[in-house]
Amino acid sequence: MPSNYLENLRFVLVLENLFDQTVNPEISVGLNNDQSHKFIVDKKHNELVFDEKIYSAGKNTLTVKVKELEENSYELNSFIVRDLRINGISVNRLLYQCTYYPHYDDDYAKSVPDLPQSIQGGLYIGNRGSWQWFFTAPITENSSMKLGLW
Amino acid sequence: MIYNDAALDLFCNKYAKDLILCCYGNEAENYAEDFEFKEFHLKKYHNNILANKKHIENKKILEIGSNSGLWAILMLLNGATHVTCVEPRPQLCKGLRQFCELHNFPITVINSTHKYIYTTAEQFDTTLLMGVDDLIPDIMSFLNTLCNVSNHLILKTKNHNSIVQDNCAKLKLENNLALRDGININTDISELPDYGEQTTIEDFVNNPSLGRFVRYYYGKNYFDTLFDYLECKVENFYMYNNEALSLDPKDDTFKVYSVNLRQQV
Repeated sequence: MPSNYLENLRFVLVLENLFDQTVNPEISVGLNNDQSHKFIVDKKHNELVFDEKIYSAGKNTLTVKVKELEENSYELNSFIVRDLRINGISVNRLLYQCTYYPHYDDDYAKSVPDLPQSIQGGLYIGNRGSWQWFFTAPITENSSMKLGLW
Repeated sequence: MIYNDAALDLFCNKYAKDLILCCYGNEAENYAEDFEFKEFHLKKYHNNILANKKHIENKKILEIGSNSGLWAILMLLNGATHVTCVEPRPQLCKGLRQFCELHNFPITVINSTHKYIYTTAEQFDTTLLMGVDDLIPDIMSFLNTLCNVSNHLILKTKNHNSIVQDNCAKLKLENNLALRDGININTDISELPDYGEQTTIEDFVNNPSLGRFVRYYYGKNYFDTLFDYLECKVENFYMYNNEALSLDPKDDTFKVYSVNLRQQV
């Protein structure tokens, strides 16, 4: 085991593009403050694969940010987070350890009062913004997940 | 890393990577590359395997709920002559078979549940039951039958001291929603998906009986009383805490029994 990191995780994020508008969303994905993995959600079923090294034990956040268009961002297709696999294993129900922070179109936000600024457990990404999934490292030692050899 | 244990060193250096890749595929290759035994593995290894070595060395073993086969392989590396692994999840059976072909390990993989003991004609020296006792309905009937199949039992159970009184059991309906959840054993095991996922979140809402199972929570003296009633001799037991990161550490008291099933108290 290399000594400079705690664990090297392979994530597979499964997204379903709902194709109900006109533009495939471009997203940036990564842990904590670094969303360096860029993808376009361009198929009906998207499996986005990326590796992330974790350097210390404790809380971590996987973030998916939807890139805004220069204009008419409301034309972006909406999508659903269907699954998240780590090291080949689905996190299954723990996928709901997430929060979606929608970014509404200004006109829409003005016309609908009291829109939620965050949706806990939200997997439907319909208004751009960002989606975050929370976990504690080392995740391969988490007894509620039991990823790998136990 | 060197563990100063021949079996463990051999497993980690030679076999762990292939076992992980066989069971979990290429998406686990980073994990396979970096795999090492953690503190929780070592606790299990010492309390379940090394502490019971006389019941493993030169013995024919049955393991119920073998998962990836990690402990079966470690028992063979500690001198067991043969291990029969019983596991309901098809991909884990397939992965372990593939691994055994690759490295020529004397393991027989049975795609089944604890019900295997009610149908087998085989006899075993030792049975290993590590952390699956909470998923077996009617554990008394199971252990009573096991007395006819196996000479010895190594049982790792969990004491839920905070929610169950000493000699009591509590049951709770749960749904199969993750890799290590129990499964609905009344469904056809041969049709389970790769990792045994019987329920999706949608099913959980719309068809909640699909992957429903009962989990049992045992008090700290439950098994002592059971073995007493079955007239089985508890040779020794070990207790340890905090196997790994736990959601509820106060519940994490593990107890490993070494029980002679054929010698009456």
